Amino acid sequence: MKVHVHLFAYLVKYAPEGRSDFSIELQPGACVRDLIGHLGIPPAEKKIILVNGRHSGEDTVLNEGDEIVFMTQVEGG
Amino acid sequence: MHGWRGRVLRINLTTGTLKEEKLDPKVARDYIGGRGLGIYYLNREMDPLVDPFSPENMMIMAVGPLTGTRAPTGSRYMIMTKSPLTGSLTCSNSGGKFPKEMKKSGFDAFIFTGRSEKPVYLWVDNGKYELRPAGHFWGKTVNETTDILNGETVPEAKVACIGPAGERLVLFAAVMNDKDRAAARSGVGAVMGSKNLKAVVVHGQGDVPVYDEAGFKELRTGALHKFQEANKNSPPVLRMYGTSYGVASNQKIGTLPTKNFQQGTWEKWEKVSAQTMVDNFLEKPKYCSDCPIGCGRGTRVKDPEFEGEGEGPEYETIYALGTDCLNDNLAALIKANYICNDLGIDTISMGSTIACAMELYDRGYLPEKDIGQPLKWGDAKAIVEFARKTGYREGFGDVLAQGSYRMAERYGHPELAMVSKKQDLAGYDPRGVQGLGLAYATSPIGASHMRAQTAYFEVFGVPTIVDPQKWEGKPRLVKIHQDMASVLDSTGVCYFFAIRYYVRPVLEVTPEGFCNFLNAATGAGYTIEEVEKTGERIFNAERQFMVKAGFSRKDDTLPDRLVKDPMPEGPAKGLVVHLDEMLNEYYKLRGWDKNGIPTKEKLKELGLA
Repeated sequence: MKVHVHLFAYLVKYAPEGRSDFSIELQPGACVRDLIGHLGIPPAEKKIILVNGRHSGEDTVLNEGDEIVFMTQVEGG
Repeated sequence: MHGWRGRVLRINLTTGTLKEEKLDPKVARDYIGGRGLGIYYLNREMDPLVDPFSPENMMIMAVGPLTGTRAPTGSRYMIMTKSPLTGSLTCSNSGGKFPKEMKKSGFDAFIFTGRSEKPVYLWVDNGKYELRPAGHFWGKTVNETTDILNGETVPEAKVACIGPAGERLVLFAAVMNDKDRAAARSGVGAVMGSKNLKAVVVHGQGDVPVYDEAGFKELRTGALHKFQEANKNSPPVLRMYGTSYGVASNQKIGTLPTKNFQQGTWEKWEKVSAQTMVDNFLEKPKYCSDCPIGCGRGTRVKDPEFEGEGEGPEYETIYALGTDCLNDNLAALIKANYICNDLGIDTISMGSTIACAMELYDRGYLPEKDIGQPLKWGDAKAIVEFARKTGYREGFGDVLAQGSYRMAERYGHPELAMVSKKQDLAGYDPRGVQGLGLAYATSPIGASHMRAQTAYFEVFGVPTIVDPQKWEGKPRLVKIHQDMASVLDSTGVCYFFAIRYYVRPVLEVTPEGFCNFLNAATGAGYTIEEVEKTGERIFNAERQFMVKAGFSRKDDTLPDRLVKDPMPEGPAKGLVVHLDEMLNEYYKLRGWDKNGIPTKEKLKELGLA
């Protein structure tokens, strides 16, 4: 199944072709953890995970057409 | 005294007399400094019912015991007064270099009363002080004024001043320092203008004495080491992008205020994103005194139509002058930001007021002849032009200068001003960030995202993510963070460092770090419980002022749009702010009655009765 991924800030270095947003093919029934493994993001790297705009954990199961965003921990004022 | 200078300076602008006064150690201990010291004097010495532009309004500039001590990010000060925009008290915060220099000049606070007959400025140099004439540069911009004053005093002096906007009593005029840093909110610049006070210039030599030098140094090194460790694999995101990262963060969860809060996402968001800013306009990061982060943006616009250089934009500026107005021209946005800095204007209220005018025009409530030209969504040139016109109160700028609420009321639709207590909301749509909705509504200064920046844990994941769409559990977290922020604003350090290194990085933000640093700096021997209680005391003392000024539950509000109209699209679709439910629980937790008034028991408990 195809999902859309958006990597922010220094997480862009894990983008397969260097582009910060891209589509990727995953096995049906894959979860966020599988995607993280596929991209090679180290488990220790602190990140915020959004699936379709909602904060999610690594166990969240993905579906065709989902948008997954990985952001670093930051702040704003 | 250590940490504290132990002295405040009283300036009676009516008589032109200056008097220094000892800072009572018990007051210093019970209120810490900065924001706490400000509310102590405001409650004690002024009538909360006075007209903010009258000589009876007090204006206090106050640093904290950690300001200027080389505690990491000990670079902040507060301006406290009664606001002409909201009618409530305000505490407006700024960083840069001025606060440390003010501390070095020898004082914990400058307390201004009265009104000068002629324009003046205060010059404080190593414990000596005088009022000097400012008539010959009244009317000059912030940049011009700062250069003139460095020429008239010493090149190393630091300057806080108003521009044309403060002189003309624009209701959201700022007090600028170091040219590009702003004590921006609630019209503190207008209060200064109403007193004919053009500037405060400070200079000091020597270190600020601390109580336990060895202990303090160890704490300082330890905190900086933790910071380096946390950022060893990549530079701090705040240094790379500044706060503008917030554009993507809010867009992706559907809380990016767009078109005067009519939407929560914008398909053109990348035109004004952090990456676009870095790729096209960033020259270098900028640092406040003793700060390792460097979140400030030194920028330059080369496009001849919007040419300029300076500092900014911050995220809030990008929301207000960008997404909120459907303005996708980042060069124009940055130019408008430079104009606001140079004329001394709060960028948040400026942008939000223009967005409100755009909606009034769009709906046919605001006639074109009043504006003098069309004012369509996204008109970048108009935004730049009206920032300038507002600062000088020219043409329709005179209406904009009243702020969004008074303008919208004048045209028959006050509900279209996105405000709380007549002050404009910040860059997070609370329908998708419920805790911040409560924080906006119960902030003592009117809508503010910095009197409990709950977006830390609701949006940015510091220390951990808490679901922003849920309102349950938020009243307790908002109270804890409001009390912590009251301490923070009183010590003189910066939120961006404090949230990880001055508090234990848990949701309950235990003020361990504050306690340790305060004790090493001052020798006061605080316990953690005392520091927590002090935060609660300061917040309740502010509520006391507000109650006397006529505020209660009826004013702890949000715009109808955010409480009644479900978010129409995006990840936060269908949500409204559950303000009533949160307020009921919040007042109980605070020990206030159902009308939001602190009970006698609560005030007695805090030593305020």
